[in-house]
Amino acid sequence: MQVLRELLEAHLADSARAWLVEALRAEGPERERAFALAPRRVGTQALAWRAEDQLRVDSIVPGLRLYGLSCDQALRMLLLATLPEEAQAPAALRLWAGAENEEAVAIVRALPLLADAAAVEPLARQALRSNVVPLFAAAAQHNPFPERHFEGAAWNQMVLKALFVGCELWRIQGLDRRRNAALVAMVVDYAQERWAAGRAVPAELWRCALAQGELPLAALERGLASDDAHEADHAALALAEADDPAAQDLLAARDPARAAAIAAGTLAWRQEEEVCRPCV
Amino acid sequence: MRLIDPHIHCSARTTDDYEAMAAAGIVAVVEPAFWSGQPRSNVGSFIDSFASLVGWERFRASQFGIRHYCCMGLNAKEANDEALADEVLDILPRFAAKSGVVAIGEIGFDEQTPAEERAFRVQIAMARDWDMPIVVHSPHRDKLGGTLRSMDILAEMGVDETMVIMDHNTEQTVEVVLERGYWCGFTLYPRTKMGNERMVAVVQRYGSERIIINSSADWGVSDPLAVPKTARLMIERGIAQEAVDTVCYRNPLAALGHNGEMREQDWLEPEAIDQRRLFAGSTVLRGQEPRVDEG
Repeated sequence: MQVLRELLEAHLADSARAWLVEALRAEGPERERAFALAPRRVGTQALAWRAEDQLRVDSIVPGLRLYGLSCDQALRMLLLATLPEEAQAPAALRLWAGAENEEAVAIVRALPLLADAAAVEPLARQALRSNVVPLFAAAAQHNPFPERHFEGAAWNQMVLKALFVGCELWRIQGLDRRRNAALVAMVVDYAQERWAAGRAVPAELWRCALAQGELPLAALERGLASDDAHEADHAALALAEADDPAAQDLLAARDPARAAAIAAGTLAWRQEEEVCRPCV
Repeated sequence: MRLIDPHIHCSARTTDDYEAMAAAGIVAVVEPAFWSGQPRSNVGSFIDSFASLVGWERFRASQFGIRHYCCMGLNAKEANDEALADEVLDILPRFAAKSGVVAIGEIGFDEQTPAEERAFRVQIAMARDWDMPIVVHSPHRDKLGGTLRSMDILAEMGVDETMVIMDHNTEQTVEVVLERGYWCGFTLYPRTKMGNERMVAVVQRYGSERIIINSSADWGVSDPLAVPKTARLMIERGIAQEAVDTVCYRNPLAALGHNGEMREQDWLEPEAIDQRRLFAGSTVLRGQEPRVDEG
């Protein structure tokens, strides 16, 4: 992750750069203290990067995002990722015990960089159990780890909880690739629970309401009729994408304007990759 | 009026307290590490409670618009379990370096045993080496003697007086603490230690310089609104607003803002200060936003 180090060093005055060199050489308790002190030594400002930096990162760890990274997070990720491979997971587990929220966020963002994914997978699962929204978001959003390493039930719990805590689903990598029948059933149940309680349905829920051989047509029809334009957009997009002519017929009959917008490409899902462009 | 409660054990308080504190003008709190009302049996309990001070409790306070900072330390009572005390002193270095930690504390004497003195000295040396302020708990029994002994040890170890809050003072100790140049903290308990009226009299007599007040509210009978109530009483009794601001806001900020963790901008410009809070845009909760109900 030389690129991460270069981007970080570009922010630092000489004294902080000298400290960084020492920190990355340190071992044991001294390295752990450097991990804790990172915000005070290198600052919490956003890391500056260009599109080509993101391309370099992607070529090493596909899906790893520079978006939203701060200098202290970058340093903490480097402190873990530059350890010998066999030392990475034990260090992450040790630092996790007693981590404050920002440290935990940095550890979760570093997970895709670590060699032994199976050993650190429980940390991603713990982050997703958290009620600290930034920590949940760091694991669920713009992070390639869940798509690559989570089995189905863990994946579905993450998506459902993202709806509960109000984390945008389009920021989850692999959201469309990992659609599955069990998730369709869960989100439709959730929509029905919300309707029964007279409460709004989160618009993005409909993006998960289709899978191979699964199409809750009646529920999508109700979503399409929502007063919330954003929700109707999402139901329309799901109907348009469904592998069933009945869905497209329904969309064309009930909402020809949205059907036309989708055909013209002016209405489309937001893609996670859009954050690969700087300054989003 | 913006107020700081520089000594409150929020972990033992309810969300109603946080709401009332924010409504009464408290913008920031400092929570010293403390005992749990009963002794902990192993170092893991300390790790978890220290982690909570910089983790969950900090987040919880932020949900009510209050900035939360803490002090790390081994308290006097639990210093008497010497084997466990050694283990706790071993983990202190990595916790003291964490974000949100403004001082070492509360440390000092309870029964004034040799074991307490040993832990006190080790932690004073840590604070001195790391250039961190110290919050000293003065004992409930033999208060004057314990206060003098604490200050003697601090002086012997070469600690700068302006880096120390001598806490839980009374009319009996205020003069010796001020004379020696330390910050002089007063804890406003509803029925014991200092009452609000007595506190007003102290400020009338000694002025506002280096005087700090706090609630030390915890799981016992205590009042998380002690600072705002006393601030208002001082105004009613004719103490100048300027002096009240000094005692209830500027002094705690000066005494505990040394390492830059607690900064006025944290509450005056909450959104500009932390770029990371922009991460994932609208999904990140801030204190001033509505809570998200789960289920």
